[in-house]
Amino acid sequence: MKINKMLFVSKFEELRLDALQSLMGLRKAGLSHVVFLYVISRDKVAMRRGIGYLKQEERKLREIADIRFIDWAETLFEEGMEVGAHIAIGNIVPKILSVTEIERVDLIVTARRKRAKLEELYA
Amino acid sequence: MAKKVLNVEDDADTRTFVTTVLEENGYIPIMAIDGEEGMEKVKKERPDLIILDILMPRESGIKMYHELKMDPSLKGIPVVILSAISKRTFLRSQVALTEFGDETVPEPQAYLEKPVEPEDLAELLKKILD
Repeated sequence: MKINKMLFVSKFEELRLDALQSLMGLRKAGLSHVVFLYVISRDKVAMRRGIGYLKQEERKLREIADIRFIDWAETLFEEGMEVGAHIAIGNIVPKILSVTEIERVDLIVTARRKRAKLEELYA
Repeated sequence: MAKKVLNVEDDADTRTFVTTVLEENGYIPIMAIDGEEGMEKVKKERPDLIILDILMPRESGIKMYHELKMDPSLKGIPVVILSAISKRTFLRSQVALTEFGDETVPEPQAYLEKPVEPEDLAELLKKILD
């Protein structure tokens, strides 16, 4: 199967540039386009009593994600890869599905929901 | 007659900023949110200038720029890159894309790194279009 386009879902703590670079071997299988996705959990910006919607927090999280994606994209662009990025707010699974549909990716790379006991212990 | 400027940008805030600068300076703004839509609008609207972002969903500005410059009927349209991606990366990526036999693509008319001041953008547009 030819893998042309990959969706790389990062939470930054788990899947980072080193993980992404370890996947570059997939270029032999035809990988030429990487799409980044960062989903801001709704809980982080949701309405709070007396404060309202945390617009400033949303802006801050978007900017942090943007800076990281630009950094990663520069590395890949220089290697001749095509790169795209999405930053969304909401629940991660529906967002992955909607971006998958928009981008028509061949492969989705995402972190696990929870760490194993030993990983938690040694983290 | 007012000149048409196509802005290809996925960020809504930047689109609003560029639209305002264009309207205030007497240009007709046309918007596209990624490279794919950008190419459709270029073919349909034939803008006098393109302001192009790089990192976007679906199709990046790097690929769109390459497509534009490889198309004999579109390569004459001036392009201003407006992006947070560095110029060095942009130029290297174009070299990487031409390694497979395509002819070398020319540099863009101007390269602006975000954030840009409205006066600087307006002045640059005036210099290129007037």
